[in-house]
Amino acid sequence: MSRARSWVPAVVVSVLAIALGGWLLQQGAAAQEARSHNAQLLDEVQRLVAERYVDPIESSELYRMAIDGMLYELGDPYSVFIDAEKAEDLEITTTGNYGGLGIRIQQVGDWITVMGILPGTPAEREGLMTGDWIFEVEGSSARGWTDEKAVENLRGPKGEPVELAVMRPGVPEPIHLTIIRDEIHVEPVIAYMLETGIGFVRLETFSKNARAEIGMAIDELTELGARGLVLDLRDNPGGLLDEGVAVTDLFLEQSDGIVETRSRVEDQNYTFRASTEDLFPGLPIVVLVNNYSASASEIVAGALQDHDRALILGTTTFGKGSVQTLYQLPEGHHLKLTTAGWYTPSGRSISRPRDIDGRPTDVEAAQGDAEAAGDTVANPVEGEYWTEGGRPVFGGGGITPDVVVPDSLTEREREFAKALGRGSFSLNQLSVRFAATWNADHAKLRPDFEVTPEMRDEFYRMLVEEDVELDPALYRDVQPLVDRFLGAQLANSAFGETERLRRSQAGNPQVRQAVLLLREATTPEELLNVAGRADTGAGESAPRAAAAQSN
Amino acid sequence: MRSRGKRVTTTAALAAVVLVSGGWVLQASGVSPTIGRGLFEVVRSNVARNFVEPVDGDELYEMAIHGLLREIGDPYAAFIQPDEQRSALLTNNYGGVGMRVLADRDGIIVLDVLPNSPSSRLDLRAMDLITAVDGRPTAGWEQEEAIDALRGPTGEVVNVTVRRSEVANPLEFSIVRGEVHIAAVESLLLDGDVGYSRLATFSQASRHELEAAVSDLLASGATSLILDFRWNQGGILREAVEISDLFLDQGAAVVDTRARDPRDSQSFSAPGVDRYPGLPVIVLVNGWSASASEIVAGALQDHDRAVVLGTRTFGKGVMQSVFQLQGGNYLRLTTGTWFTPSGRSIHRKRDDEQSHGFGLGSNEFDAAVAEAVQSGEAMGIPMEPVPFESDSVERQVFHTDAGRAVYGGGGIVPDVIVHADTSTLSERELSERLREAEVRLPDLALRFSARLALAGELPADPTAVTPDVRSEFDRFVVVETDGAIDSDDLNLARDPVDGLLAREMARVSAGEIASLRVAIDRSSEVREARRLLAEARTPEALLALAADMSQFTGVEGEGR
Repeated sequence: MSRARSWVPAVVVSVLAIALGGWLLQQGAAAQEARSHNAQLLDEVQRLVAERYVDPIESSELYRMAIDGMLYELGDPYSVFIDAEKAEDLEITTTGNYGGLGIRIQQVGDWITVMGILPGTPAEREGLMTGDWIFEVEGSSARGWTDEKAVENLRGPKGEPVELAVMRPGVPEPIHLTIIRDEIHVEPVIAYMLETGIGFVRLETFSKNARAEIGMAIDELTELGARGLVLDLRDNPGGLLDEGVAVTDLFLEQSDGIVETRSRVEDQNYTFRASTEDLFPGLPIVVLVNNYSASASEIVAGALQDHDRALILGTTTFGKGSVQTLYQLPEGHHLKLTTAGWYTPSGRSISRPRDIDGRPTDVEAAQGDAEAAGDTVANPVEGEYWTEGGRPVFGGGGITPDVVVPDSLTEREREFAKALGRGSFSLNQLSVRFAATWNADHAKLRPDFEVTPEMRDEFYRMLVEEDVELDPALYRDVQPLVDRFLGAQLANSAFGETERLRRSQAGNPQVRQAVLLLREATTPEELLNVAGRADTGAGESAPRAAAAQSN
Repeated sequence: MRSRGKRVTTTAALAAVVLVSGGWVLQASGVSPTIGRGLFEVVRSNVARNFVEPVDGDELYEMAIHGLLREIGDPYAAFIQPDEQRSALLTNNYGGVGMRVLADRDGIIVLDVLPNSPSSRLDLRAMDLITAVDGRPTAGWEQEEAIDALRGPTGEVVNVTVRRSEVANPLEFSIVRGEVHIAAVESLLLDGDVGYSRLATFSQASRHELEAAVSDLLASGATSLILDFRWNQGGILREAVEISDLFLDQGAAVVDTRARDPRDSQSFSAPGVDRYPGLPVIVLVNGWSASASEIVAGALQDHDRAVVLGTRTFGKGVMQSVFQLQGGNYLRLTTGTWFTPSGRSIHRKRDDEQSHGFGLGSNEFDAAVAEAVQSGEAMGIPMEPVPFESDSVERQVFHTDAGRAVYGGGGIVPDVIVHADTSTLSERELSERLREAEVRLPDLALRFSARLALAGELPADPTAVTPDVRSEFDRFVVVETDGAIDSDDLNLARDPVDGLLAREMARVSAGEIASLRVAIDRSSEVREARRLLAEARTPEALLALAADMSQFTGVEGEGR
C-alpha cells in the first residue's frame, strides 16, 4: 500500500504531462491525515470542482449534480430527483390545471402536422382539421419544431388562448385561429363490434374511470350479441395501479390474486386480490398486447394469463414491473424512487432488465426486421412458471403472449416503407396529408366508402411529387397496405377517431388472428385449447396463417 | 425567458398544491429553493433505506462522486481510487511482436515488420502468411482476433506457424513479446531539396525522432522543411514544447495556460536556441490537427518562424490537473485552457447546452469523428470536421512578433488556406453508397493488394494503376461486397479510388514510406507547400509570399 502510494505520484510527475488530456500534478492542497471517509471525499471533490474546475458552477448546482449522478449510478431509469420547479409542473398536470387543444400531432418534414382531432375539444370547436400544418404559434415560426417542442408550446394553462396560423391543403393562404386551451379529457375506451358475436374494446390508458367505462362498454357489447371479446391493451402505457387492479377484478373470482408487490419497505409488501365475483363469467377473452403495453396493462395481462381467464396474443410487453414511491423532500423537492417490484399471481416478475437509457438488455433482436417493426421478443427466461390450470408461462421480463403474432410487414411492404423512408416520410404521415387534400377537393364520403383506383392514383402522384422513388410494380404489390392506410385516414378526416380505428384494425394481423380463434371458442377453456392446438400442432402456423391472410 | 403570465400561473398552481398535498413549504415567488448538503443527505439516506435493491449507504458517496463528475460534463474528469491507479495513470505496457498484420481468408498476412522489434530479430518478413498462432489455425479470423492473439504481456512467448512463398515447409517461430516502439515520425526528401516530416502523434521520444529525421534530411540536401501535422490529434505536452523549442529562440514563449485558480496556471518557453536558423518551414494542418499540434503550429506562427498552411485546426486546448485526495485517491479535473504566445485561445468553444457554456467539445468531437468515419473513412478520405456555430463568431485579431495579423476564435487559422482536393459531388455519392453498404474501401484495397502480393502478381510499378488491375479490383469488390458495390459505383470517384489502390499496393510491395510517398504526391496541401518553398528560399521570403497570397485566398477562403 505505502509502496504504491509513493510510487504513483512519481510516475505522474515524470510521465504524464499530456496536452491532449494534459495533466499537471497538483499536490493536494492540504494533505489531511484525517480518516479516509467517503463522505469527506465527496466534500473534497465538491470543493475542488467548485474552486478549480475551468467552468464556474454554483454550489447549489453541484449538490444537484451529486444527487442526479448518484441516482444515475443506481442504473434504474425510473429513480429520479424532481426539483421544486419540476414538481410544480407535475402538480399542474395531475391536478388538471393544465390545458391543451385536443389534437394529435407529428413532425412531418419541416412542419408539425395535425394527425388527429379529439372530439369535443377546443381544436374541434375552432375548426382545426386533420392534415393542417402548424405554421406559426404566437406569431413565431414553427418551422423545424420537434414533437416535444410543439407540445411544450401548445400546452399551457387552462383558459389561456394560443394563436395559431395553419396551412391547409387546398387553401392558398394561411388560416389564423385563436384557440382557448381547455382541459382535455381523452376518451379512454373505444368499443364496437368486430363482427357478429365478437366485441372489441380498446383501452388507451388506465385513467380514473377505466374500470367503470370498460364494464359499461362490455355490457353494451354483450347486449349487441357479443359472446367473445377482444380486449386491446396494445400501446397502453399503464396509468393508475388501482385501476389496473380494478379492471382485472372484473374478470376474476373473488379473492383471486391479481398482483403482488415485493419491497424492502415493510408496508409495501402486499398482495392485491379480486374483491368481487367474475362479472362476465364464461366470456372468452383475447387480450392484445405489444411492446408498448406497460405497467397496469401488464398487471391485467399477467393476472388473466395466470388464472387461465384470457388468452394473451401479440408481442412481448414492455416489462415495466416496478413501483415508484414519490417522497416529499424539504422545500418542495421530490424524490421518485423505485421501491418495489411487481409479481404476477404465479410469481413472475414483470420487470425487464433495462439500461439507464431505458433500452432492454435482454433482447436478441429476434429478427432484424421484427426489431425494425418494433416487435421484439424477449428471451423467455429460465425458471418456468405455471398457471392455475397448469399451463407453462414464461418469466423474465414482460408478459410473453400465449400466441405470438407480430404486427409486421411483408417483404414488399418493407421495401415500400424503405422507399418512403428515404424521403423521411412514413406512410401514416403521407396518408394524413392525402386524406386532408382528398376530402377538401371531393364530395363527402359515405360511411361505407371503399378506397378507389382514383384515390390510389392520386396518392401515387403525391408520392411522385414528393420525390419518392417508387417502382409502380411495387406500389401495386402493396395495395392492401396502402388501402388500409388511405381508408383509415380518409375515415379519420371525414368521420373521426373511432372510424379510423375501426378501419385500421380491420386488416390488422393481430386482430384478425384474435377473431379467428374466438370464432372457434364458446368458453374461456375452449379458447385456450384452440390456441394450444394451433400453437403446438404446426409450430407457428397460427401467426403465419394470420400474416398470410392479411395480404 | 419565462413570461410573466407563466409565472403567475405557476404561483397559483403552487398554492393549489399546498392545499392538495399539505406539508409543502410555500416558496417566495422567484426564489428557487437551494439544494445543498442537507438535501443531498436526505436523498442519500432515503435511497439507502428504500431503494428496491439493497445498496450500501457509504458506497452511495462514491456513486455520487462518479455521478457528479459525469454531470459536470468534463470528459477528462476522473475519480481515481487506489486500486485503479495502475491502469488509470500508466500508459499501457502491453507487449507486441512488432508486425503490422492483416487477417485474411487463408491466415494472417504480415504487411510489415518493424525494425528492431522481436519479429525483425527472428527474421520474420513482409508477406509471410501466419497460418497458426499458439497452435490455433488462423484462417478466416477477424482483425481484432488476430491482434488479440499476437499481443500480450511483455516477456511472454507467442508461437506462430508461417508459410513463406519460397519455402516448402511451414516455419515455426517463438516470438518473445517485447515493447514495440512505433516511430511517430516518417520522413522523405522531395524534389531533392525539400525535407518532409510527418508527425503522427506526440509520444515519448517524438522530439528526438524529429530532430534525428531533420538532421538526416539536411544532410541529404534539404534546404527547406515541411512539417506535416495533419490528422495529428496531439499527445504529450512536453514533446510539443520541445519540438517548438527546436525552431524557436531561447526564451521564446511557447504556450501558457489560464485557469480560474492561479495555482493551476503554467507557462512554457523554449529552453534552447533555434537549431535551424534560416531554414524555411511550412507547417501543414487540417481540421483534425488538435491539441499539441495546435500548440506547435500556434507558437511557430506567432513567432513568425513558420508559415502555417491548410485549414483551421480543431481547437482543442484544455488542461487538466491531478489532485491528491485523502486515502490514496486522486481527482483529475479540467482546470484551464491553452493560449498561444500572442494570446489566442487554442480552445474553440462549442455551443452545447449540456456542457455549461464552456463546452469542452467532447460530444462534438465524438460526433465529428463519427461523422468522418461514416462519410469520409469509407472512402479513405475523412471529411473535414463539421463546422461549428462559433465559426460565425466575430473573429478577434492578434499580432505576431513581426506584427502580422493572426486570428482568434479557437484553433489555429493557417496563413495560407488550402483545402484537400476531395469531395466532389460524385465522390460524396460514392461515400454515401459505401456507408450504406457498410463497406470500408481502404480495407478492401489493402486486402486486394496483399493477396496480389502473396500470389506474386503485383504489377512491376505498383504505383501505376493499370486498366487490368483496375478491373480486377472492381471484380474483387463486387465479390467481397456481395454485389452491393460495383464498377458503376467506383467509377463515381475513379481518381481517389486509384489513389487508394496505388497507396495500398505501394504499402505491401515496399512498405509504409512508399505508401506515404504515393499519398503525399497526391496531396494538394503538399503540392502547394512545395510550390511556395520552391519560390522562397528564406523564412522571411516565405512569410512575405504567404502574406501576398492570403490577401487573395486566406481570409476569404476560411470565412466562407
